[in-house]
Formats: sequence, structure tokens, C-alpha cells
Amino acid sequence: MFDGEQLVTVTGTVTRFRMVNPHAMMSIETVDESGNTQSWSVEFDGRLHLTRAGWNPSTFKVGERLEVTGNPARSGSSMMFFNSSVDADGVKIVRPRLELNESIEEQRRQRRA
Amino acid sequence: MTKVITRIIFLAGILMTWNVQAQSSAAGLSGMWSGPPDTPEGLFCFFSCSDYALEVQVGLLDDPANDDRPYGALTAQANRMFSDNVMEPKLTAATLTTYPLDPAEDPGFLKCEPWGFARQIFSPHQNEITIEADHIEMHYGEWDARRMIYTDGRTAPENLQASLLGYSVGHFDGATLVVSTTHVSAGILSRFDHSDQLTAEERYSVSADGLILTLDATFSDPWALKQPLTLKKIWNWSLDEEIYSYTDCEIPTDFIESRGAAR
Repeated sequence: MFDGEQLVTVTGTVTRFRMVNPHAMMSIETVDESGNTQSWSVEFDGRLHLTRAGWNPSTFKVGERLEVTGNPARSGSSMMFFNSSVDADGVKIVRPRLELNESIEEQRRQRRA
Repeated sequence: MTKVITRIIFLAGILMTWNVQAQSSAAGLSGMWSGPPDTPEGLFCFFSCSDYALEVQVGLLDDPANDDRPYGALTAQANRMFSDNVMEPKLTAATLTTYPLDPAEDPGFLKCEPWGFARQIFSPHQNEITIEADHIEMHYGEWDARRMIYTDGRTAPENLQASLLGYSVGHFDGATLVVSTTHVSAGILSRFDHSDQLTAEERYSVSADGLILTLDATFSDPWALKQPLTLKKIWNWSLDEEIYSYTDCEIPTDFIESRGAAR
């Protein structure tokens, strides 16, 4: 479904964020240089996983402008699996699973040192 | 008379020892488990893993030639090797027609259908274990599912219909909880379909320090598997966690529409 080896980044406005079971979902509307709009569907991990990482339904707000990076759909459609986002103030939010990966990488670096 | 008294004392001693052992086994297992542990092995077994794949992964991580390769890539390689060398050779022709199942087609995600036994026991996050005199309850965070394991020696009733979580009986083998499960509805195991002929033996053991719970589950299914398949999972002792209700499952309509438009 999603290509875990590839990344795509879009910038747009959040039109919907639903922190629900089984997976949280976001819709984000982008506008290209010609003024054409496109709606992207962003899938997240399960609500349970996000809640344990401190997320809540207000983690993303409707109307908020975001740069979102994720693994694109193999079909080429405007869907992605969330990896990270940066808001207008430069605040970055990372997929909790990737933060765990980074923790493992730190353990590896310390072991090598 | 003295011999009789000696025998009674001896038997009482055995019974007390057995009881203490059973209590300590139960005490070590009882409570809230979650995870994954913040280790390469723990994260690797976030859903399910296997001894083979863990061994491969540890070998890859220990190899200095892989120092510059990210953890995710090494994990993916270990999983591919497990799939190619262990999983696929065990799958029947019937199962191979749909293996590996596409996670995006997951009925739990697309239709809010609760998971069956073979997925639920590997579900990430909380597993709260409560031990009563005649049964053990496992309460999972994912889907807020509750599962009963009878420990009073009973067997499955005659003509019992298959169900999502099946029928489970258990006993302690030393400090290890052994659970046998039958009467499971056809469903999904790892990334392949299984039939209602699935049976499983789960073995739950707690580490010496009491902080890690390990499950080794061996599955048999004449429709899906040519040979038994053993999968593993690891939890952390997590006393401060709690389980919330799972009432707001929402079918991802936008996602389904986007997917449909792309086809």
C-alpha cells in the first residue's frame, strides 16, 4: 500500500484530523502554483499508540498550515503514511515509532563508541 | 502410625511447595504488561517476531559492516529472511495464493472489525493479566478485548461453535503459563489467512527480574500450514498504564474514497 522506502512532502492546510480507532487520519488541502487544490489523505498509527506517546485530538488543528512528510501510496494516489510534520512556527512532530527507532540508533552509536 | 503421620507431613509439604510455586508463578504474571521494551529486540517484536528473525537481526546489528545501515533496513532484511526461509516454506498452496496480505486491506482498519485470536494475542501495547482461582483473564488495550483462559481442568463443551477469540484452557508448567486454544473462527495470522481448524499452544514466561514477559505461540492449521509455526512477542512490565474503551472506531471513508479513485 505505502512505499516504506520513499518519502513525499506536501505543504497545505489541515481540513480534518480524526484521532480515532483503529488509525488516526488527516486530510490536508494543498494548492499548486496554478491555484489548483488537491486533497491529501494522511494515515497515522493507531490511536492507542499515539495516545501513549502523548498525542491528543488537538495535536493537529483544522486550519493549521503544515508541511507533512510521509511514505507515499504505491498507487500514486494522494495518500501517505505519516512520518513527520513541521508547522508554521517550525515545531516538528515525528511519528512515535520513528522516535523509538532513533532511540535504538542512539543505543547503537553508544555501543560503537 | 508414625509412618502415616510422616507420609501426611511429606504430602502436605509437597502440596504447600506446589501451591507456593503456583502462587509465585501467578504473582509474577499478574498485572499490566505493555511495550515494546526500548531495545532492538523489543521494538522488533512490537507485533510478532520469531527466534529465527531475532537471531538474524542480532547478527546484522552486531556486524560492523552494517554500522551505517539504519535499524529499519536491518529489521526489514531480518523479516524478509524469516518470510523467505521459515514462513513461506510452511504455508500451504491455499494460503500462498493471498500471502502476504496487504495491510491496507485489513478488515480491522477498513471495516472496524475486531481482531481474531491469532492477531489479538500479538496486539501491541497493553495486556492486563488477572489471575482468579479457576481462570485467567487477558485484557488487551487494542480493541479493549477480553479473553478467558480456564485453569480449572475443564475441556471445551461439545458442539461448541467457533468464535473470534476461541476457547482457551491453561495450566502452569513450573513458572510458565501454558495455554491451549481451539474453536477459533477463520481469520488472519501474521500476514496470511487461517481456517477454523487453527489450534495454538501459547507459553508465557516472565524474566528473572520480573520486568519482561515473553510469549512463544505455536500454531497448527492443516488448511493453512504444512508444519507448525512458532511466533514470539515481548512485553514490558508497565504498572502505570491503563486501558481505555474502544468505542470510537471510525471507518476511514476519506482514505477508502482516495484509494478507490486511484484504482
